[in-house]
Amino acid sequence: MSTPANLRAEQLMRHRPPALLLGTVVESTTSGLACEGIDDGPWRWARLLEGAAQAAGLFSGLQPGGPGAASVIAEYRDVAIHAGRHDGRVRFHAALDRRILGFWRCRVDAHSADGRLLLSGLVAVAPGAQP
Amino acid sequence: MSDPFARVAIEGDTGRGVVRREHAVALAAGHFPGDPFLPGAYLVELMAALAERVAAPARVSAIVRCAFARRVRPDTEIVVTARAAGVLVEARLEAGGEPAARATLRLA
Repeated sequence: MSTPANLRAEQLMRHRPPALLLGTVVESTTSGLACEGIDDGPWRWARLLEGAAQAAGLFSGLQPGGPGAASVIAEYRDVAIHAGRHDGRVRFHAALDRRILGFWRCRVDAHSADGRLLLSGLVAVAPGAQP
Repeated sequence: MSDPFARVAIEGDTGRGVVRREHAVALAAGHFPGDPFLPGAYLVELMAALAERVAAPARVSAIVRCAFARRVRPDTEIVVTARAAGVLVEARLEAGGEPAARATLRLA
């Protein structure tokens, strides 16, 4: 399955500004998703992490049998903060690392427009049935 | 990020911080309309903020692991605790008196 390029993430997500951190979906396949950040920052590391998590949630939510639109983040693991803050454009990537029961663990990263790695790690996405 | 804490107590290698209600409301804006709760990444940031006060001047360079147990509503009392041990900090976050998240953070 693939999603047409240049789709706006807000058409697929329940996040709304200022929480919505993804802009245009530039690539979406069964193996991964790439998405532009919604603005030029500033991107403190936690905002980068939230953007990466949104990319993981969007990617897994688009897959057959995925956790659905109400998914939540269950865990972060091995997240390396390469930049405490970034000003400028950002691109997020998410790809499936492994499925564990109902969880979709994704490898995520955030890069600057010139290709510098800003943040990387693993995000586990769970179906959103928590209280 | 503005100071997230209304009160902080540091004693030796441990700390406890109570998050300002207005700060929590701001972090949850748009997440989600009609069903607000704080994004997990911002819960990690709150734990990291306290960790950096406990271990100053060290900064958090990595999240070894952070697991979430429940959603955190912005209108509940949010309390963060942290204990530093070498280059690692063990942090906990409670919402309304219930465990909501726990993290191991690495310092640089």
